[in-house]
Amino acid sequence: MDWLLIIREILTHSVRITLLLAAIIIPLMVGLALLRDSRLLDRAAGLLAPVLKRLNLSSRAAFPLLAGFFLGIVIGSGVIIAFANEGSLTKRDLMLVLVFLGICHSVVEDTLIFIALGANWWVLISARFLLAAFAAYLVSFLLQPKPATAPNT
Amino acid sequence: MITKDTWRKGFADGLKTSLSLLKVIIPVFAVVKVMEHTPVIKWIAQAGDPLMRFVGLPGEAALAVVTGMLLNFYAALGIIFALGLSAWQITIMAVMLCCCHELVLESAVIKKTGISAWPILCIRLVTAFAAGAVMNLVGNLVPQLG
Repeated sequence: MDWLLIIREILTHSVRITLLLAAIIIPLMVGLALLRDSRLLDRAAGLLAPVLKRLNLSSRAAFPLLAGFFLGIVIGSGVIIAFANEGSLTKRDLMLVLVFLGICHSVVEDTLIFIALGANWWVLISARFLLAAFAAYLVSFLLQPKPATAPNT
Repeated sequence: MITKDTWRKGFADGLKTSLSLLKVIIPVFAVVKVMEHTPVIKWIAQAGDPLMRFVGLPGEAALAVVTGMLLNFYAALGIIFALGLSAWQITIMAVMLCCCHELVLESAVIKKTGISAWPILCIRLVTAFAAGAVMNLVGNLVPQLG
């Protein structure tokens, strides 16, 4: 195999990944800071509250979930890493969010690519969403929150 | 309240997060690239060949599935294109690969958030193959799907 070619490919792609990631994450974090300080984030999280409540997730999980759903797992993880410094997400929150995102992320890009190849788009999107929701739902039973906060139903 | 500090903090957060992600992504990406040029993937694909029947795909599709799941989603697309699958087979492939792709890189990124990546990796693999098997059955029952 041609090592020079491989090394060149790694270097050019690394530069591209760096620029691309910074171009997405920096504006996203600025936007997040603006949303947070204007208290719009709390209101946006309110819209997802019914879903989050069913999984016993804190409303703090809404933003990484949305970011990952549309922009991909790397961006979603980036938001989590930024949040984790503030200690607002528990390990259980993280596991549930990432189980969902692991199966269902970057839905726009992935779906468009497979539409181009000739796949049935509504089967693809709905299967992915349902599988992700089902997996996260199952895991939410395995990882019960502390008994003091768990509902008795 | 939005102040100058809001902008400054957002920018600093973005920079810090980008850096901590790149520290994981670039080394893993380099490993993945090298693996793409070794025969390791072909060996795994040979082992996975018989599994393809359960999800209604030809044996040759194993190379696309293994490449996409482990290494590179986009490299897998080229292989799929060359296979000449039916519309339903492409949909099966799409669901499987969308649920479960680039496990090496994405697991490294997930681990960076502070939890174990193994449970998520296993869930994704099981989900992908279970979905493929069910879709294969549906395809056999409803021939109009192609």
